Amino acid sequence: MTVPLRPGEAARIAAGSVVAFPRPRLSGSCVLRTLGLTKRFGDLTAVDGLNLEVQAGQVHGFLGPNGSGKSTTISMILGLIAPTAGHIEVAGEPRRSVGAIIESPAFYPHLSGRDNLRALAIAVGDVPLARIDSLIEEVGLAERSHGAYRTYSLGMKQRLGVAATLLTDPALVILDEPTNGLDPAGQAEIRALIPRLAHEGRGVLLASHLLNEVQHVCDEVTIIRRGRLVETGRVRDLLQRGSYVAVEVAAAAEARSLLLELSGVERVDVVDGTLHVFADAQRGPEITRQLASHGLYLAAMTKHESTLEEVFLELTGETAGEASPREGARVPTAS
Amino acid sequence: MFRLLHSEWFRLRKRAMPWLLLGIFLGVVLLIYLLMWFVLGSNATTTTGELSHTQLRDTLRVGAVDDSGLQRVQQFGLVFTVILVASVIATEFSWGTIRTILPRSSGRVAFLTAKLIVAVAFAAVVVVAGFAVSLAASAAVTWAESLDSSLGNDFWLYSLAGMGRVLFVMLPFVAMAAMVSLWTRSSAAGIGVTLGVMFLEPVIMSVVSAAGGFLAHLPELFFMKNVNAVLDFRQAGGREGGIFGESTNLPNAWQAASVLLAYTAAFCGLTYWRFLKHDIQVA
Repeated sequence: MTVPLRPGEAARIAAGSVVAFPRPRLSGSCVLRTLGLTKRFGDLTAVDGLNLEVQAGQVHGFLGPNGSGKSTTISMILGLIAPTAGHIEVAGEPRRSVGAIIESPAFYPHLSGRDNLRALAIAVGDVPLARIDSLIEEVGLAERSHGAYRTYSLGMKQRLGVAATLLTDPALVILDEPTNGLDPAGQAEIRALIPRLAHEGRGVLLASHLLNEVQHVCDEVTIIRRGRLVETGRVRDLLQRGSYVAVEVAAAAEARSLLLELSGVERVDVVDGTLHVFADAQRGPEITRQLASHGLYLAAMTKHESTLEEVFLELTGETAGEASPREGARVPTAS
Repeated sequence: MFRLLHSEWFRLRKRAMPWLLLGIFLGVVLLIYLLMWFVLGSNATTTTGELSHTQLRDTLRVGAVDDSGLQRVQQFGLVFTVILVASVIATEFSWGTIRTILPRSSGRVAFLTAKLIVAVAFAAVVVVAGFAVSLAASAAVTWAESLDSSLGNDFWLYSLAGMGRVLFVMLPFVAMAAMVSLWTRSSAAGIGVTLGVMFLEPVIMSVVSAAGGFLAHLPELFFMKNVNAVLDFRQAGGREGGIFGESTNLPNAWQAASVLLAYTAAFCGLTYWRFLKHDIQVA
């Protein structure tokens, strides 16, 4: 989904600013919006006119190859990096309404987990001690909460990071590789936690390399490459676009021509003698009828549902090395 | 701002480093007194360095704490304060905690100001604690050696003013340590550069002074002369000699204070500019 500019917004985009608007808690309300977000480091454009929108109550996947600008974008949202141009809007006061883990969690090594949360709570203000206790309990750190952070395992550090993220009951939660270093049980816990955060009315921006994880927990996804938006939309729509019906039939070339005549068929590829018909899987009977009516009978027909990984690799050209994004993929600019 | 200050202080007091530094510093102050007491008792006629026996007795008496006692507090306390300031600033980058705490802060100015206030507060604690230990050690030596135990007129007032001057002359070095450690994101660089300036400046100053001409006046812009001038400042109607007991060849105290204040402002300005204008990279 490309975010349209409202009248007068184009002028503000060049300002490179962060603004806050009243915090919505209703599903469907926007908790994060970037407009033409751009960051240049000298000659390198790390983020190029990125428009991004995260809704409350939804998990939004944020994908891209290494060095594509994900962390830079998140750092700009958090105010760690100043945008060269563009505009960021977050719901509510940013320091209270945004909770984030960037890359790996970072806390004061000499402080205990509890004291780390307390130091953060003091800095933010108006966070009751009971909230700290309940969060420690929730992330399963109660037994080690008084131990020094430096003695924590990677998984415990990650759990503390999640607790710190939720300290102020934020409207927007940004998680950058939240399952890094966690054992399978811990990963499952986090995977269960992410949709729960969204169900509680928060917007979640999830950056992860685990595309299977993103596919299962995200409602929407944004894919960027070299700082530019490659694709954004609902996960199920993206997956459907990459899905096809594999048809094994004699006279593949003739069959291809016949199938392209059908409405709703986007394209037909011939791969090793098999036709890949890019159309709604529900069109199986039409395909069968069309071929049979011209004397072509199927040897086999199977439905292939694409994975987010396949869509991602295709869109980012990862398998092709330096290949450009797929023709037809939208690459919107700031204006 | 107050919340950040509270959080900063909370983190600092939970850290072993400031307590260790303070402990070592007070131990050093105490050790100096013990050594001087030992020297005083071991040989009553020869000189020890530049201190004659009479001078040593005068230095050790309780009434001299606001002069010579504070001099030692300034010299050693500054070293420990610089170490702490550089660490407080640079570890936020080396631990990566800046990316955790800064987005939760009410702005970069408030974040940095809280750090600098805590740094100055630590310097104040160093000065007051150093003075208290000097006073206690001096009182013990005064009692043991039956030295002159009179405090003199307005001792407490002079002590308070002396502590204020010591704290004031520490400010440029605190600001320099903060600036270097923030620019380089390295506590080692902050400590190294600041202590390097402190210890190399006298050498450079003597070379430049020897050159004559306009270069001979250059040391008036250096730290040491101005620090000495401020520490040697005599209160109106005050006593003989300042902390260093040296009033010749020193610039006017107000001029010296202005120079030190200008250094402090410049270092702080550069620190804020860097922190406000530069991105904080995640990894």
